[in-house]
Order: sequence, then C-alpha cells, then structure tokens
Amino acid sequence: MINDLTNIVFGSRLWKSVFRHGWPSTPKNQQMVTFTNVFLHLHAVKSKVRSMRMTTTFWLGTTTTVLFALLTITGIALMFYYIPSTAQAYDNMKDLEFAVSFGMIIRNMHRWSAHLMVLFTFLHMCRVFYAGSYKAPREFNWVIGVILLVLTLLLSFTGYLLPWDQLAIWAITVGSNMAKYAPFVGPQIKFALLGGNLVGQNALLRFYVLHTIVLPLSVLVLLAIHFWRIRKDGGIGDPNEPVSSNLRFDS
Amino acid sequence: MATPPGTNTHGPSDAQAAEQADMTRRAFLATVGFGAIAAALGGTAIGGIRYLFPNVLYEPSNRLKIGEAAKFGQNSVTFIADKKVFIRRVPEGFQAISAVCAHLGCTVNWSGSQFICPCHGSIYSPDGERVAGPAPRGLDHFVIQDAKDGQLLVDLGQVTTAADFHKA
Repeated sequence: MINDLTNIVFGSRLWKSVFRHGWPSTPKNQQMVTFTNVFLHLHAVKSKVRSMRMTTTFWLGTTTTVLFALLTITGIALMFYYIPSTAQAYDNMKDLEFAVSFGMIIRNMHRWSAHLMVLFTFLHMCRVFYAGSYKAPREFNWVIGVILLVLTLLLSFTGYLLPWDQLAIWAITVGSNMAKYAPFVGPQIKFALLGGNLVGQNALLRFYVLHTIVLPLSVLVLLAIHFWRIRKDGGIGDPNEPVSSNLRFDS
Repeated sequence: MATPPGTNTHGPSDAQAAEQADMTRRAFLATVGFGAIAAALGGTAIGGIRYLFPNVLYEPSNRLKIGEAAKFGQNSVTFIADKKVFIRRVPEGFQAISAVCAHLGCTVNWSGSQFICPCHGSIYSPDGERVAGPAPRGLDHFVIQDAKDGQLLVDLGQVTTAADFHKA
C-alpha cells in the first residue's frame, strides 16, 4: 500500500516537474542534483576530503557565513517592529524586548551573532594567513576578504545606532568625529554620513538604510564572488601545494 | 603611359593617404559613442553624490537667549545642558565656551578650576585653552550679542577667539 502511495507521489508529473532527477543516493544522481539545482550549484559537485576536515579550516568561514544568515533572518524579524524614528526607536526596542512574543530572544540572537561574526571573521582571516592561503593564485580572494571585513565592521557600526540609546549616540558621535579627521574631505564625509551637523533623525534614517539594504547586499555580492574564487583557485588552500599561478589560463 | 595633367605625383598614393589620415569615420563614431557613455556615467556619479548632501536641515536654531547679564555672578561658569555651552563671567566680560570636546565630541565637565573630558582625559583651562590630553586644539568660543529685550544672545553658529570678551 505504501509502495503504491510512494509511486503515485514520486512518479507523478507534478513531482517530476519540480525534482528532475532521482533521489541522490547514487553518485550519478548526487552529481546531477548538485549540478542542476540553483541553490546547490554554487558549490562544486565534488570536494576534497581534506577541505572538509575540522582541523583544516576549523570551519571558521562556514561559521561566519551561517552567522550572517542568522543575522539576516533575525534582522528581518526585528524590522517588523522597529521604526527608525528618533521619537520611537528606543521604545520599539523596549517593546521587542518585553512586549513581543519571542522578541527578547530574536533581539539577543541578533546582537550576539553580530559580535560573534566579527570575532569569527577575524579568526578566519588568521587561519587563512597562517595556512598561507592568501598566496598565489589566491591573492584576489584575500583582497575580497579584507573588503568583507570592512563591510562587517560597518554593519556593526551602523547597527549600533539603531536602538537610539546613550551607547548608540555617543558611539556614533565619536565615530563620525573620527571620520572628520580624514584629510581634505573629512568634514564633508561626516556631513554626508550624518545627513547634517548632528546625530539626529537624518543620521538614524541613513544608518538604517545602510544597515538593512546597502551593506547586506554588498556583503551578499562579495560573498558570492568569494566562494566562486575558492572554487576557481583550486579549492581550499593546502600549505603543501606549490605556490604557483599554474591555475591561470594565460602566461 | 602618360599621366593626365594635374595629377599630383609627389604626395602619397590613395591607399597610403587613408592609413595616414587622422581618424576614420568608424573610429570617430566609436569615440563619440564611448565618450557619451563615459559622460553619462560620470554625470550620474556626480549627481548621485550631490544627492546625498542635504540642502535643508531640520535642526534646532543656533541662536540662544540666555537671560540678562545680572543673572550671572562674577567669576561664574554656568552650564547650559541642552545646547552644550558654558557661560563664563569674569571681570573682563562674558565668554560662551563650547562644551564639545575638540578631540572626538564628548561633553566636557567643569571641575571648578578646569574643563575635563570624561572620555579620553583632555583637560582645558578656564579660558578653554588646551592644557593636556589628546585634543588637538582648545574649546570653541561663540559670539555673544545683546538682544533687543535686554537679554544676552549666544550665536552657536559663529565662532570667535578666546580674547573676544562680551562686555555686559
């Protein structure tokens, strides 16, 4: 009876129109599913066993990415109850903590994931550095990584203002005054960043737009390039492999 | 074979002339085309950056009435919290000293004898002059004027020197 049911469901035209290939239990099916799935095909069909081992990478890059995904999901959840207005932001934050069901855990997960993401980005960069995985042909990917670090720090900086509490205002006052020290264009950068001369409504709105749209999208695009480059540069770096540009197509 | 009269035999042939010509029609149109794209992108970039700088600000007024001169005792330093300014009265006259630290913008405190910033330890003399700490210069002084109703008026948008006392 179960067999008939299984055949009806998995043999149906509807099922087959969505899932084109059989269950990935054979090597061929595993390859076909990975190759033809839009989400899975960013990953290579086959990976070296060495790159999967905990002691090779400590999975630091993976952890950082998972933290980013967590931040995105909890961030979107928080957006349903948060208004970037100087009159309402602090009260919204208090509501999320104490009046919204599961609001406290969503907010706390967001905050903890933010701190951990910065830490794990740093640890990941340490691992890459000490394993020599920044050497040719992976130099460009290292640069992408540095830009990702800067974007992570900017995400932390812009997010810090949103609760609109004392910590927020003074952190951004100090931070924007540091920007003012840049040569020639410092004062203009501060003016454009705050949308005015003081840390007020304009600044809160700009930081909100940066924090929820501009910076996450930039991270997403650069993450895609970052993963792509790992594949194209020959997979996870190995200190034993010779430093060479043999993987390039020219020269 | 005799060449027809009027033919120029000293200059380059037709084929050579075409190579040495300044620019073919194709090259010209390509240049105009790419130039137009560059101009469009450049204009968009400039416009985009200009867009980010607001022209109208909804910020509180910089001009502040602080009361009549008699309200301030001799050798007093009065803190006006919401505008972040100290009003100092000494025998030479009045000064309006900014409470915003010149280092990174924290609000400085008056200890009774000097201004001390709680953030990174900058210290200023009663005159607002830098004494110690990471501040690169002293505290700003603002212009004080007489309002029509007899009160003193501090203009936080006009900076002046420490020597510019307002005589009450």
